[in-house]
Amino acid sequence: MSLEPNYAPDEAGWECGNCHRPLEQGKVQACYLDAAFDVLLPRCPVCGLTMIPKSLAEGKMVEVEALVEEK
Amino acid sequence: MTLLEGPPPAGDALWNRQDFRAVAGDALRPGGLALTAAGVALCRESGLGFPCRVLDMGCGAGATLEWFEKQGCTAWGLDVAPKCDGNAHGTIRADAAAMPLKDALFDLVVCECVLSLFSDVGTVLEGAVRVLEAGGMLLCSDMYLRGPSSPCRADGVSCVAGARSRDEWEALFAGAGLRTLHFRDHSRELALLAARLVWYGISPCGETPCDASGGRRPVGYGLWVARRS
Ligand SMILES: [Zn+2]
Repeated sequence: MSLEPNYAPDEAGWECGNCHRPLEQGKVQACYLDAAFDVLLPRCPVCGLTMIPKSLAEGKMVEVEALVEEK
Repeated sequence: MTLLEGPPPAGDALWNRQDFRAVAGDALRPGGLALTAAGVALCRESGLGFPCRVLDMGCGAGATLEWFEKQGCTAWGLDVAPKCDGNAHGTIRADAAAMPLKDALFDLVVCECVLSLFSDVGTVLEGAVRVLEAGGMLLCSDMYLRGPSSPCRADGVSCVAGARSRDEWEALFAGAGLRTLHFRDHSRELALLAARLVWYGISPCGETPCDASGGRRPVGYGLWVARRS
């Protein structure tokens, strides 16, 4: 069962600056303190460089961070 | 997978929803089985014999029952709508507000995030006390209001709506003949569960905690151990 949110790049056509390979959607974990959250993000298939789309950085990540860290 | 497509069925309790269960796992509450284990350790420190005879009120999918059975306990569950597959566990389909069991059958009664779902918590607690042996223990975890009293009150719809202050909970326990031995704050587990819900895009369908006061959320999660006096 796959529940994790899927964030495509905000604009298409990104490639890794080191490897010059197009980014692919891959599963990564965002960690807040000791909690891990799965998410599908654009990722370089060679070196693993991961891009965090602005929509994620300014949306869910902020919300979740606030929830996890206020207690 | 289509779990997240479309709006959740209206009026369904958060704990029963499939999308919620997929994220929270089989232990449908903040802290999961780790919190159950921590609570049982507190009970044993306070003199609970172990393994023991235990009743899980609101056993749901049976994760807690299974945990107790693995520890060698004789575990029974009570639920209006048990979700245990087949009948692997001793589950009784009944309303905890009308306790159907005989007196003094158990050493431990467990209520995990379930009491606040009832409009008449006093009656549920009286039933729990009745099926406990003298000296038996209640292990309860539930939402509680950390701030000053809030105008929001139980409507029987969700845990959050039914949250009471710590003092109110302990007064209810005392009213049913239970002496509170331990209290632990586990609000962080609640925050983590809320964060998971947000992350995986599950709307708690309007069951917003009363956080209109701004700043810190006044809803926390507590764990109590009480003894039948
Ligand atoms: Zn690369």
